Amino acid sequence: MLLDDKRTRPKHYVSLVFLLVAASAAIIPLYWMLVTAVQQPTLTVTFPPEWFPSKPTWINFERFLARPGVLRWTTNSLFVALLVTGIQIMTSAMAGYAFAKKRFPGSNFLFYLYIASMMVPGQVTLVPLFMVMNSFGLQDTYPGLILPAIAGPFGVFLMKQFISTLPTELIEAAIIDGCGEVQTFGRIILPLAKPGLAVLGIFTFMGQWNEFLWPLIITNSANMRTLPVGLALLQEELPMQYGLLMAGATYAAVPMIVIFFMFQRYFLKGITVGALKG
Amino acid sequence: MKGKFRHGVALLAVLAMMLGFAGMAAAEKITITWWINPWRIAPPGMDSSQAPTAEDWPEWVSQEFMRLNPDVEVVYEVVTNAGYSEKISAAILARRPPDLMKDLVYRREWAERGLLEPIDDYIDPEDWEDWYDYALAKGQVNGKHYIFPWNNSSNGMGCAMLINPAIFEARGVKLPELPTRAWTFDEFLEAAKQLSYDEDGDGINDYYALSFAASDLLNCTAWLHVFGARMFNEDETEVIINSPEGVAGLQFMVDAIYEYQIAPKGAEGMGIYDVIGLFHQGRTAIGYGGPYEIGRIDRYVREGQLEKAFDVHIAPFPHFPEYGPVAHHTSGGFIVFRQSDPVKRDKVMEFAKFITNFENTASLKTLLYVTARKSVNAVLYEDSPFADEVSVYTAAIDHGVPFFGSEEIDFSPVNAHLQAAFEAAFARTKTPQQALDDFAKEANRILFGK
Amino acid sequence: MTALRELGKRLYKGRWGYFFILPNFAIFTIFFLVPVVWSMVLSLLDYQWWGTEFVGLRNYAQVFNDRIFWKAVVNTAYYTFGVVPLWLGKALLIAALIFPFRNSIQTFFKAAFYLPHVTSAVIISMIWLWIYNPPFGLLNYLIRFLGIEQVAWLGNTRTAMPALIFMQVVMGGGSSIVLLSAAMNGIPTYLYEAAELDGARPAQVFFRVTLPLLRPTLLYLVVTGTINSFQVFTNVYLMTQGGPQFSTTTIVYMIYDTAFKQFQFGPASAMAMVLFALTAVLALVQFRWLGQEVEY
Repeated sequence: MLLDDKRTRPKHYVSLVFLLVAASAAIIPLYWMLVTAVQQPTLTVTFPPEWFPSKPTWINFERFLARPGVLRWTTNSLFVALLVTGIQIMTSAMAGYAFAKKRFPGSNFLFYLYIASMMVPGQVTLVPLFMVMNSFGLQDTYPGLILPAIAGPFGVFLMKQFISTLPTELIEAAIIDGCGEVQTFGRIILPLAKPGLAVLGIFTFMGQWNEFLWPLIITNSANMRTLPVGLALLQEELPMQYGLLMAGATYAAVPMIVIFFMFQRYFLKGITVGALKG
Repeated sequence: MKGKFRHGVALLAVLAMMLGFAGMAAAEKITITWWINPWRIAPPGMDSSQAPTAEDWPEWVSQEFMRLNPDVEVVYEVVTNAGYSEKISAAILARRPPDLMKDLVYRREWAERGLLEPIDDYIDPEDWEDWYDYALAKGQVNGKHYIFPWNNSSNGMGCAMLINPAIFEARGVKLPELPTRAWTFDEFLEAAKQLSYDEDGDGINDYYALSFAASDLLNCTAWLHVFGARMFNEDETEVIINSPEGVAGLQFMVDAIYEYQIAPKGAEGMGIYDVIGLFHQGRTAIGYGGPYEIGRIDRYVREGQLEKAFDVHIAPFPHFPEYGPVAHHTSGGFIVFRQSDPVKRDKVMEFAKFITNFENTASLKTLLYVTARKSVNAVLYEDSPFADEVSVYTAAIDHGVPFFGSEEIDFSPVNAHLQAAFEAAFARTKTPQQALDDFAKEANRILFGK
Repeated sequence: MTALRELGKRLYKGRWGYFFILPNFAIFTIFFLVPVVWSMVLSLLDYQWWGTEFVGLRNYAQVFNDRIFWKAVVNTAYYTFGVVPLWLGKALLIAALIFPFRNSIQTFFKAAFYLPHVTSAVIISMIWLWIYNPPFGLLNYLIRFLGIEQVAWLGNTRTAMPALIFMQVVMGGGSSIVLLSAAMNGIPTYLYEAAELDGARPAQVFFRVTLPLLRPTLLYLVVTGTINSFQVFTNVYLMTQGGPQFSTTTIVYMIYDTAFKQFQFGPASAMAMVLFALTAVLALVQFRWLGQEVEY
């Protein structure tokens, strides 16, 4: 039983086959990463890769984990990424709600300000941002890592688009029932927006978890390094050591996969707006 | 999420306070900040079975210096090659550069505009003699010097070739001979043809003498020099690489791929690590680089990355009798950013001198790196199994010239155009003449406004 | 006076809007907007550490006189108009195809398509460099069976950009699939039931019911997808460094090169402003086209 409804049509099997083929193309790099990570180091410089490791080994992982600093990099990254994700979700949901459902003078202007700001590439805002952070004395600190990431315009835009699809009558009904503004937001909007929040949570966490350049620039001490910076250092210490590199990348992928599955249950069928209404 | 958030804020506050205290405690000493890119040097006394990280040597040098200078606190930072340029740009524009830095990124303009400290007053007389002229020249601006020389740079790319004697012997090819292994172009070409062969009989060679990569500007430019070409005219007012000599050099590389089939196709899409990889895998009998590359192979074998060790010889690029041997000259070292406090300036200079003194320059031995000091190079590898190779290499770079103009020329704006010329020629979308003409025209416009 | 009071009244009525926006907007202004405005100003300056000089439009003149810059504009447009329709088409198709399946299958596919995003760009680029490698690559190995001579995919001016686009389309789309599925699952089921009762065929349901209701999500995807494609950098940096012969040099790659290899922040910022203007025009069209509010 693959389908929701009781009629399993043959064409669904056709689409299943198509989906499997398309998905495998997307998964190959990940599979290659895993396979290389558990291969004997000697085999890994040869192309094409050995798709089925004949002598799998943990040696690459052992070597990776033995590199001083890995634990510290991981803790820093986790701390920063979780904090950024939490704050980003909250503030973006609030702002997105205001843009989607509230009327106030200047709302259009402010919204387009967010959109416009996305159009200037980070390569040119990097140095000005560094100077802003410096004037607050935030270089080499956690706030220096966290603050620039928590109010990105993508989150506000996404939440605005998502919340605008929620029926306005529900909000009006809540107000009539005597709910305050904050209560309405907390009790009506947030639960209904869960799928959107979950998507934003995944996107934000991944973006932050993979961020390389900003942590490199804003931090100075080895203790403040994040995982991507540490991995880049490792890769440069040992160029062409693919096994070790892949072990590191696999290690770095784990929290992202965990986050994906933690959040994805919020956007399954059955607990969304449709179900609430229907 | 909420609980986590509150936790986070509390943690932040505590951390901020800790950082504050740490800052206060350190303020009593002179703090020197030092940036260096990853160098996996094993510090003296390190257990040789252990693989050094990029932190070990900077840590050791800093500790040693602090032991000798208790009033100094050295704060070193290992900055990755990726992002090094972005990080230093941001730091300079925010007026917070480190005190001392590896010259991975170095702009002549910085010295001209007074961002760097001249080092002339701090250099001992014997050091002037000991450093190679080309190493000192790299940091020379308006008669003053700004770089403490340390290493002979670029891993020997553009300076010399690597040869795999086992393949030479298996194919019955005569090896060039010690002490300098100098070989003529004709000897090289003859050898190269015998080194390339088709194993599986499909009409396409599977093993090649050597390989090219369009983005590998150093070695590609070296080939143009083999044919007598020069990038600039005598007084460096014009790009002249599209001379008949330059065109002949590029024509040779194209012919090597399509005519003689001594180099694999696809050079237009390859990079330097492809070239190194082909040599490591025994797909090519000739690679590029200096002793460092032998060290790399040695490390890869010890770390289990390369299945088996193989012998590597160093040989100069082949030469035509009329043009003589060619090699690229370049070096690296440390620069000191402007200091407002004279007491601190003295300390930073002292630290820079300490890093580049005889013993600490000799630390490069663990990477089989050739240094910028004659005295170190003379004795460093005496007892090493690679002594012959090192002397071949140092003999080769004695003929060196800077390929991309003297230190007064900033070649970086035209790098991409030179690469484009190699790409076009290798892909045969332009003839060598067209490719180099177009490059010269563009480069003259960008560099000299004509 | 009355106008002022009127305004005050409207501001007061909108106070909750400001309240909800404030936390985000405050941080956004300091850490996002200020640097953005700053970089706009930079485009009019000769900005160096030793001093700053107002140069008016000189940076723009320099940029407009650069043949490579115009090439980069064309390349960037080529990339964007190649990637955005294909990538979005792929995402829509896959989101629509997985929609009828039950939750666990949906999750399986969403995860599968999302997985490339947990693999770092460096690693994805490594495998694609191998796929495209001229002598030993997978692609040349495959086309040899078709009797085609080997192609230096990333070394040929005609194939390099299509190769980057193809890679992006095959690897990308995971997050849009996730987002589209979330949005599709949010469409009230009674709308589908009503359509089916009216005898609409599945394709009709998709085009008449699903697509219009996805408009806010599509707008988000089209706008952000265009912005991201216009700002393509990482793949170029890792795969081709702008070559061969500048055929994959994009605007942002050129900005990066100008700012951080040649230390010319003024011209780099001027290029960014041109990019900004181009993006803004396109986004405006997209907002017109997809921006209407959705009505149930």
